Amino acid sequence: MRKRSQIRGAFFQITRACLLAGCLNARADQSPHVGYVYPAGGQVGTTYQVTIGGQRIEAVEDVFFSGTGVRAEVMDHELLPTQQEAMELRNRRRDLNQQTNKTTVVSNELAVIDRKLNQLERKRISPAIGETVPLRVTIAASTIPGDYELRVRTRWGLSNPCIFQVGRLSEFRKPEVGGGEFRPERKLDGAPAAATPLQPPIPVTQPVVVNGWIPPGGVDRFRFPARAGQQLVLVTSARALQPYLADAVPGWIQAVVSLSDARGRALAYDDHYRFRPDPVLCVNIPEDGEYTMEVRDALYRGREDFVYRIAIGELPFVTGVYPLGCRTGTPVRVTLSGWNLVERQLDFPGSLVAGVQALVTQHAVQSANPMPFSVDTLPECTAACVDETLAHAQHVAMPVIINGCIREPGAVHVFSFEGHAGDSVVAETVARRLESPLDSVLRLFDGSGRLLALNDDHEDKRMGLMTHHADSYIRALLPSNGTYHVQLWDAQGKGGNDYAYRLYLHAPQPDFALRVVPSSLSARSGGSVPLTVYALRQDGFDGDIALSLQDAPAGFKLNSARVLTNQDQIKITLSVPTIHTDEPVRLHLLGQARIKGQEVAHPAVPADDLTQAFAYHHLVPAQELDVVVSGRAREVTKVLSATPVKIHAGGTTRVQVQVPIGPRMKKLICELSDPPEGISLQADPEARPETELVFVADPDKVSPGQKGNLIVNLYGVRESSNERATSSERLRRIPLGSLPAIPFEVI
Amino acid sequence: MANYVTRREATRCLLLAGAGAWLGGRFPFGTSALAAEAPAASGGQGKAKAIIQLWMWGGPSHLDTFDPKAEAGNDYCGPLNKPIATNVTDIRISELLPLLAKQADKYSIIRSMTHGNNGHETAAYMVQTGRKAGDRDVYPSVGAVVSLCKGYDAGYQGLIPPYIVMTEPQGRFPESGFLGLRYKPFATGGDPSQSRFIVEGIVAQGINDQQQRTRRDLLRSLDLLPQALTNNTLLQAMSRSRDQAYDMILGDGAKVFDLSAEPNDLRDRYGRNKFGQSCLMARRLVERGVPYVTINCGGWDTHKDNFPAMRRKLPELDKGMATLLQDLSDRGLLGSTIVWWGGEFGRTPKVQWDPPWNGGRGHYGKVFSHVVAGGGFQGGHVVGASDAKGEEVAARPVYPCDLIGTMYALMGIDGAMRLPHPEGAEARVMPTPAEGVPSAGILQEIL
Repeated sequence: MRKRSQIRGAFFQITRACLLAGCLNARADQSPHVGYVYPAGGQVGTTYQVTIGGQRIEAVEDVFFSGTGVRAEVMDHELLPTQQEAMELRNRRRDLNQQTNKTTVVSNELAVIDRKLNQLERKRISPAIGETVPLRVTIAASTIPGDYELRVRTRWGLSNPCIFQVGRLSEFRKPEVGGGEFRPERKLDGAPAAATPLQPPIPVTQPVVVNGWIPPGGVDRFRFPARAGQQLVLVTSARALQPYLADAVPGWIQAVVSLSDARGRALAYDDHYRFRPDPVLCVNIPEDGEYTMEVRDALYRGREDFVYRIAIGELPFVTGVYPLGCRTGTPVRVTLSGWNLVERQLDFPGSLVAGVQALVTQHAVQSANPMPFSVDTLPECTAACVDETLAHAQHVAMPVIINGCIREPGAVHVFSFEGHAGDSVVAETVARRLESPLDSVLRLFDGSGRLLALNDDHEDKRMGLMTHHADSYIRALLPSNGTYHVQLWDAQGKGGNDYAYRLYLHAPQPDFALRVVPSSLSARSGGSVPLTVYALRQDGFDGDIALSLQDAPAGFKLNSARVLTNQDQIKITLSVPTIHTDEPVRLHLLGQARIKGQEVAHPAVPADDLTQAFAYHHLVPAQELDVVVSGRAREVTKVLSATPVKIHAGGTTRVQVQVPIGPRMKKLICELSDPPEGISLQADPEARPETELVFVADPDKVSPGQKGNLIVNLYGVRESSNERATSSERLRRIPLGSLPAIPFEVI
Repeated sequence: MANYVTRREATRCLLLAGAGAWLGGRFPFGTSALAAEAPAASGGQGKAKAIIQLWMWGGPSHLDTFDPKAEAGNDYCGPLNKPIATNVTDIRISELLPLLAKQADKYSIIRSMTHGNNGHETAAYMVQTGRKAGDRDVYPSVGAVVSLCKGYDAGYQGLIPPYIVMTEPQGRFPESGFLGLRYKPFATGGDPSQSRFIVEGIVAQGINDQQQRTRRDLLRSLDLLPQALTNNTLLQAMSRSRDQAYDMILGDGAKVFDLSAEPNDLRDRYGRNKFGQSCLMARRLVERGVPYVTINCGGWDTHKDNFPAMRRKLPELDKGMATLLQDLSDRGLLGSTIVWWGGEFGRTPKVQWDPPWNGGRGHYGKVFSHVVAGGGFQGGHVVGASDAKGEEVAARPVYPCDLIGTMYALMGIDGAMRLPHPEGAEARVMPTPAEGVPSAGILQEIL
């Protein structure tokens, strides 16, 4: 049996990977992809086995977790059969099946063959999760509970992050059905596969976190005793583990969880919690007895990456916070509502720093769900709002943040302020972004009651996990001196003690936030790797933002790292030194801009561009920006010509570059990645280390003054020495990374 | 006796009418009010007498078919980077369409189709109705309009319904829109590449003609109501409908669907697969006067593994469509038959290499390709152009209503004709300027 540990570095594996690279037509990025980890979390102070599923992960060399306290080692595992091996296995199976009297040895061999071919079939159907690797994970007793990120490294690079939850509750892992056998929805001849039989409920003891994954059509059931009077809380993590499914509709796991008593009567059921897809059930247990929890996908979909964790027990769970924030330097008493809370009031002395903080309240061994709490510098007041008419509005002085709550369904809160002709004013609710269920609407009136502006929903791209941007935002120019009114209510006519909000009224505060994508980078030694920086501009800020690395190791540097005026995104590159890193290097990007004469700096938050349901894209924040550097180059890839490159509209511009092309490379291919409108590369340059690129600007499509970055991907064409390679595989495109970003200006 | 029918009788009649609705809605229930408003005819004869719509459900990649961009690089064309010359100078198409390359003088490629919509349902609606998605009314597709203007209401006498879809209806798209069930296509079901094409309601599985006749006689002997109410016009009409249905099943109707009557080598040339044999069937239907045939060919929604899918599908398309064009031409039918190839949109020009796509392409409505041949369309032309990477319309945008309007003109269907709207609302065959549907004009350049 071939095991990964036995053939590490073997020529065979390299050849196979090279052939694979040829077959894939040399995609630029051969980095591993992790589709899921199962179980997707564990208890502090334990060591246990997990499985990761993904693509290009068979040859995993190392595993990394964000933060501290969690580590893992790769266990021995079988490699998937090659096509040649699969053919031999099928032949062997045919021969064995022809034997009339099958001995135990033969039956066992057939079972092994079936399992291997099943694994291959799984990879054929879902390549992105078709490879599996077992890991032994150790969570130190001192590990702080919370979400961590798992990344793996192969010789080809670093994988995307995958969420791994650490908690203090004991864990239970659903036994594999049929020994983990892969069961497709349809047999290979197209006939429907046998339905997954409903298994009897699995006994567990709460409090516990149950772990499972849902096969197609699968329904998992767990049985546990509970006592009369218990306030049982069942918190599901499914979408929380796998934020977006790129290739499914709905674009996330839509878990449905129900709880029934021993007689089968349903006590609670839900397929969401407020505005989040992961259901939370809060149940008063009516009598002592056995209770059964059931979980499935709403559409009975399923796959190995439909992984879930459900915490069951008398767990603390916060449903509401009031107020939703406070002013820096000001003491505040925060009232919490929820289930099984020991503390319902938290007092803060005024030492909170500005920003969104996490409120965490402790109960026995388990912390409650963290709630966001916004700390700001503007003055604050509390909404009184007993009268909904404009004439009796609550008068406030700008700038101000009003803390309020729509306690009664259908209630409308009205505020007034004094404004001057020509003033620009911003009215913004921050509620949904702070976990309030409020779906706000804002209207702005002048003193005569004339409607000046209205807004229901306003997208905030910083909230990558949010698909309904329910908070409202108005920016308006005031037409005259006088009194203005702002109305606020819930668009769905709902209300309650949890429907809190913060209403910001102030002059525009131009600012920005940054996201840098992706959060895992794989660079060739001495090369460059592209990354995209998104500028999320606020209140009309349109200026330049300079980007820099903070405290990076020597040799790591950004190229052409500036978001230009009015740009919302730009591709830049990170150049790395001629080293090989054993562990990921954690990077910090900082963006700096001059706003109203002041120097303003914000970190660029690492993120990944995730696809939801084939179409929508979200920038989902990650905890770290990590880069690994592979190989050992002697020379760095660099641009030799002076930059920024001046490109004549209608003309050509030559740029000297140094590229990592070896003597066996027959050809050098250069491709512009996402080229700016009207700019192209004329032809592939000569295949030598110092060579020349020729850029062409179409005069009909470019305009003088146009600026940006040119990202050039490099490929070498090498002739394979493998005699088994077909003619099309013999000439292989080898990705050579990218050139450092080339800033340009059209003249 | 007056035309009085009891509730029980009416219920029974309706049930039977539902069963025979595919006969073209000649039964006088349900659509009678609509029929009263419907025009007697479209107002004229055009060059084209029929349309064969090769509907590529899912949206085929324009770069991998009729608008190759080898110069755009690997991230755009992947391994399909060797487009081939055709028998028309300066027209290149995918390397996987060698037979169609030899027929390029028979068709014109529209490389600047655009509507900007990336949803299957909405884009399919826009491409087949020429209307905007999301407006109040659901307009009929081209097939339903042709059925209205060239079908039974316009004197069509054929036994085969005037609007046929092979083999499955489009599902996510209501072809007849507000015109109602009467103008929905008849979906054949079955698979024409099988040894016996089991056509829904016409050619039954496991029942021969003799058994069918015996069943008919038994039903007649049990159905005493028409004998008791001999003067009831509704029952008389129903009886006629039933007789026509049996004519279809036991007479010439069934023979149309018997592909064994075709020479083996011709069937081979079309390709012994569902699409190829559907193309052959479409020719047979058009030959017998059916004015609109849709071949609903799925499998083009290649989000994942686009290129292996192209290597499977394009050779089938190549054989089926190329042979259809040649066969129609050989029989003198191409001049009167429009062949319309395309899907609801194209696919993202830039290949998505990352997992889970692994060389896939997403939806792309900004620019894509359609192909038209015959029925008055000139061959050997390219209309419009996409840019160097197939991402934008570079020249002469063609909106769905431009193409549809051109086909109506060739069919002799008056675009200004009023459609029978169930609420009596103003509705025309082609969008009026007030509807705000983008248009760049009919395709005069290939007429």
